[in-house]
Amino acid sequence: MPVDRTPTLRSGLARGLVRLRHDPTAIIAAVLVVVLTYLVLGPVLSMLASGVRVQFRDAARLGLEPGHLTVAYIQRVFQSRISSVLFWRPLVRTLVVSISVLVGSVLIGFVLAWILVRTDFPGRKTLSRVMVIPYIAPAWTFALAWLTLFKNRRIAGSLGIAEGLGFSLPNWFSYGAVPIVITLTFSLFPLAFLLFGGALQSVDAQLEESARVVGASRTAILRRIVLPLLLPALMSSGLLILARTIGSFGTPYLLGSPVNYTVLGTSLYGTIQRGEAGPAGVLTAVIILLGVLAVSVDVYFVREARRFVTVTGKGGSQTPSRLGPLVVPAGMFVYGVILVSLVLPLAALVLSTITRAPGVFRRENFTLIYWIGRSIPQFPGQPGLFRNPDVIRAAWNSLRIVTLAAIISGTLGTFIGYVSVRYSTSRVALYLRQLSFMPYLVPTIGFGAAYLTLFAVRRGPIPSLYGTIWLIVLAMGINYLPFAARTGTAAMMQLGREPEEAAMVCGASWWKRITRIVIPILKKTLVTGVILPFISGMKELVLVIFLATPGLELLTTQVLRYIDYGYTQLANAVVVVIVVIIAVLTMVLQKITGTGLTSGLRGG
Amino acid sequence: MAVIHLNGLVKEFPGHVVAVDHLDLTIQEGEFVSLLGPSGCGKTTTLRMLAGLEDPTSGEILVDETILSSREKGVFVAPEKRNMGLVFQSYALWPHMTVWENIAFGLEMHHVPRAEQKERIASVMSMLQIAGLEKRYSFQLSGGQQQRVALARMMAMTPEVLLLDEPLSNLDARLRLEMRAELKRIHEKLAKTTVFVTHDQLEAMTLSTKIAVMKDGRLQQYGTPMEIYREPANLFVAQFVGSPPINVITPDAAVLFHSVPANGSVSTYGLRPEALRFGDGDWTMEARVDAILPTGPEWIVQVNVDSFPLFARTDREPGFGAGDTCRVAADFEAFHRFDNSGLRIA
Ligand SMILES: Nc1ncnc2c1ncn2[C@@H]1O[C@H](COP(=O)(O)OP(=O)(O)OP(=O)(O)O)[C@@H](O)[C@H]1O
Ligand SMILES: [Mg+2]
Repeated sequence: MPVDRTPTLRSGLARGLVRLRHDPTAIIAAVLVVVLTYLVLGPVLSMLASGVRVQFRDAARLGLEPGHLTVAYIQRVFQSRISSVLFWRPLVRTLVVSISVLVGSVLIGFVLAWILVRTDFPGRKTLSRVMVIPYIAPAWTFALAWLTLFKNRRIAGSLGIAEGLGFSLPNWFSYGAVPIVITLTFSLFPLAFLLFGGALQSVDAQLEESARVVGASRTAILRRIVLPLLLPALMSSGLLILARTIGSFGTPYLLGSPVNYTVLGTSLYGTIQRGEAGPAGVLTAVIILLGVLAVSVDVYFVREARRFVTVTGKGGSQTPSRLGPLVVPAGMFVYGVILVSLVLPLAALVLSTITRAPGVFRRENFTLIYWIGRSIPQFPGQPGLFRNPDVIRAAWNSLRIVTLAAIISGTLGTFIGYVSVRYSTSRVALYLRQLSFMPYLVPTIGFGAAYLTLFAVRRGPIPSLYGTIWLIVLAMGINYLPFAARTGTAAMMQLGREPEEAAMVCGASWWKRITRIVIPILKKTLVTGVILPFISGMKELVLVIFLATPGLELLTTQVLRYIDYGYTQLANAVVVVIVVIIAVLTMVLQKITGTGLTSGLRGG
Repeated sequence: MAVIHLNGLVKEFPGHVVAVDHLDLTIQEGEFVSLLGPSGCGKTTTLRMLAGLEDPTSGEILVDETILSSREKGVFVAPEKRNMGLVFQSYALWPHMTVWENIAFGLEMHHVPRAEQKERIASVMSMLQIAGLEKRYSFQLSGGQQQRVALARMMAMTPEVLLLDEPLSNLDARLRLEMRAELKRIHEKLAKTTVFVTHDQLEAMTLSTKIAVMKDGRLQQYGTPMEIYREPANLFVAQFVGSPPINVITPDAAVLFHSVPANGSVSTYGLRPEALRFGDGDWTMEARVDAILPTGPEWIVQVNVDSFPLFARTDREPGFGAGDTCRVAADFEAFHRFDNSGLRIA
């Protein structure tokens, strides 16, 4: 090949340009820094700032200029007449709920993991897969199922199936702490199950065998060897569950509001809805702080867990212990969990969409009118689901908005991974990774509200997005960034930079390197990186609750509308559709990557 | 003619990690130069700067009179314009392409006509004895085959300079020997300037026309394999090259130390194991045998003199066993002398 070393550019600028054309990673990094700072840090900071700056509506009352620094909102939240309603009581309730859910899910998850990983329980492989399903369904599905089963006369809408069967249920059973804890537990235990299952599998059989050789009894081995090794997984799953329940909104909203059982998430919702930006900012800060606390403790324990793994190596294969006659109670437990967490809720939802009056099992009470009817007598102006223009519009909105958001998320995540690998040690990569993780810590409800206040008006080059799909697309795309960025970074790290550099030495341009080398190699991972946010987006309710405007309803917000109107059957029919979509996509995902699901689950 | 000059080359990574520190090296046309040193001494970084994958913090890289990299002069020639071929430590074969596609990719990027592509690929593949593997993917190849494909991919581009980053380190002992011979054959046939990175001193000794020994990013010595072995510039080089390692005799081994004539301010002596004989010589000592380790053609004998351990290497079966006493000897000129900063005293 002829030698061509002519381009000896003398000026630094020209040389820089040559480098950039040859390798635009620096441009990508710069663009990412600007975009993420604007779209992640911007909303979060503005939300937090509103907690310490005088809001326009309070200026007169406080006697201060709008925008002036103030501690008034902090005082209002922590020590005023209403702070017990606004903060302290919700805080206590949040902690009560979170800790109960934590204990419940860890117990269920641990026992299940033990039975399905360490014993010869029949069908344990398939059952392990089934156990993950409750986590894939939106958490608030369980709340709706609860209402469908146990709603009493206190609020509007058709009654629960139990009342239809003639039971009269007390409020404390239909609404409030009890159902919130139960439904959250049954939607979150798979997280503990997955973490424990993984940990149990990685405990090296040799560790136990060597204990047996020195004469330890079975209980001693369990107590002194296995449980200590599982401790990091226990802490980790516990904290992840805590982090998720602390900011949860959908379930407490549906089950708590009828009896004014307010937790931090719903209290924040209340302040935002009443336009109290100041207290909302303070509450957001509190929730972020609690989340940061949980996550940083979790990071610590994950590191500990890794320490154990490196000590024990790959983990030998254990011979599953024989259950013997214990198979009966074990089976009751396993199938009981499946019944309560999966069969019952789904059956209740489906049943309610094909019966006119709840809990009546006579032939003439069954109907498909809510699915395909031209009009429904009790619901004026609402045809059945498949003919319903509102539902069809909402489905179309969901589809396009979530698709766009997933693509934005996946693309940003991939590029963050790319920059992280190419600039592995630089501050820029670190900054990008930290920013992309931030939405995980911000309560989703606050994040959505921040987007609304920030981008509802014209900001710099960005026109007002209010009432357009782009407001929701952006908020969603950014909200799922933590998972997308993690997928992208992991994939890129695994690929390393050498395959690309090999192409660079061969003279491939940046574009060629990306399209012919990097993307083809990472095809599967990139698809995963888009499908995961898509699944999350399809079931998203909390984020969009303020962003979906009339005419821009999504499937999930349509459910809320129908609940408000008391159109229970229609609401449940939409939920069933959402669950079906998610289940199908999840199966597709599992087809594409054997592990994508489990690894993606930890986050969302 | 293509003479490569590295002048005062420095590479500093963020966090004040100085991977390469003022490296000066001149590589003549057709030479086979090994960069030798322990892990983390900056070998890969040097190679990557040569290839243009890393931008030197200061200093410059020239080929003849042409500057390839120089921050001071604001010059940077892109990797593909340098006409250098690089083989990565991990091979970096593209997993989604067949062997043929892997080799063809670079040619395609240079718009080499189809017919010529075919010809060139066929010729490198037969030279590297991998003909017949065209349709395989990298995961269907053995380690040695992958390695050959990586070499073929580079050589199809007919680079002027070959850069090889520990290409043999992932192979088993037998394959490694085979590929070593192969590399030597290829180098003798093509006579292309080659820079070869390794931390295996034996590999460097057997393959290179010249070796550059590095430590902590600094060049320790640059010379032919024999110069490096016979006249190590400092204690580090003396200890790094040779197996079993050179015996290092410090003043606390008083009996040994003071029985060798000093010239100047010697603070350490070095004695190669093969220079330690059994019998009598200029310098003779009473020793106890600690262990005898037969390797097949040779015996490595660990003895101790006044409880100071020494290694000897001999190709004659020792007539004694562990626990016996014997006499060890060496010629005075066999001792390497180093001053208190570790530098060789001539
Ligand atoms: N991209 C980077 N960022 C920061 N430090 C780096 C980077 N690349 C290399 N280093 C550091 O520079 C030093 C030299 O690294 P280099 O890879 O050149 O070593 P090496 O001699 O090739 O070692 P090995 O034999 O292990 O491959 C090491 O301390 C390494 O940690
Ligand atoms: Mg290296």
